[in-house]
Amino acid sequence: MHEFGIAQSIMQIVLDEARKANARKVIKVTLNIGELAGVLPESLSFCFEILAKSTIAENAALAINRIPIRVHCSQCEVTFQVRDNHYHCPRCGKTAMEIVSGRELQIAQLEIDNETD
Amino acid sequence: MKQIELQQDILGHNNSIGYENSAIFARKGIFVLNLMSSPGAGKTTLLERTIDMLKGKYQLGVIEGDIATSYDAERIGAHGVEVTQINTGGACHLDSSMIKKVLVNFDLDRLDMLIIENVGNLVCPAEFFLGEDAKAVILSVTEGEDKPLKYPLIFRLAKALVINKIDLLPYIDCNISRIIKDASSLNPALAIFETSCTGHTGLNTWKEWLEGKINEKRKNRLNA
Repeated sequence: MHEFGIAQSIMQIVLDEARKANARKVIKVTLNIGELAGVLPESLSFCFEILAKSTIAENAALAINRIPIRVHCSQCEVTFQVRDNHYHCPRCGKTAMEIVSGRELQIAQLEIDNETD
Repeated sequence: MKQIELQQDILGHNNSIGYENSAIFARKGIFVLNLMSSPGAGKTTLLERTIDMLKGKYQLGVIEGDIATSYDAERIGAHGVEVTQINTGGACHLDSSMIKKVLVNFDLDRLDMLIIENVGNLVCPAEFFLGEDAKAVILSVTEGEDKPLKYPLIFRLAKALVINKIDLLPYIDCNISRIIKDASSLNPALAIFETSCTGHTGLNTWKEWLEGKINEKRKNRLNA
């Protein structure tokens, strides 16, 4: 539901970084989006495309890596992947609370066309 | 062509302002609660009951978040506490800079507890840290027992779950023990309360939980 706001934040960071690197054009933006993050990739791509119009990021490709949910059981020192909301430690059976990954909302990488090229 | 490795958090800016807010609350010893639920679960009514139970003993402040209107702020204001309305103008959640901006409306030296009533929504508010000590979710029994597993993030992050409108249980098909079981399975440390805000039932344990949190926060300030 808040994909537009997220897309705005992404665009701001992308344009700032691209400018710093003297980019003529942004070719590709790669995001890491955790499966626990309340963001729909399709909707995010749609908003990104609209916001990119008339900027150096127009027509840039948006690649989204979905990051699986992994949690850590501090008692058993076991890290495991969560499927179907099953947060129980495979060793002791207790719910593991420490989220290792899955909440990511990250810009991983930019690919730009450089002025000096 | 050039590749730039960023690994930058998109919500990093929101988080850093959230931490600035939380540093202010720590200094002043104010317990801050971020109250979340879907629209109509009973956030404002729970808030009214909570204020009436605690206002003689503690200084309370309320931030009301809504997409539009100041109806809720008017309801809360009638109970004699400091209240500020934030209209997000369409946004489905509050963010930390909105909170920071309105803190000037409160006398922070006097405040014991600040309750932030977030925009009605079970998805987005969970993503945005405001600087709070605890998130509390209200789930009304009319919403159905499947909600914890459908919206796991908010139930994982919350410290308290208020299951509201239990007076309606005889009339609807809702298995409250499944709500409790699923929510506890996602988050065993979750404090769970069963209430009817209109029927004034189950509110005492909720009040005691809040008082514990307020006193703990105050003590930490005094020790600092």
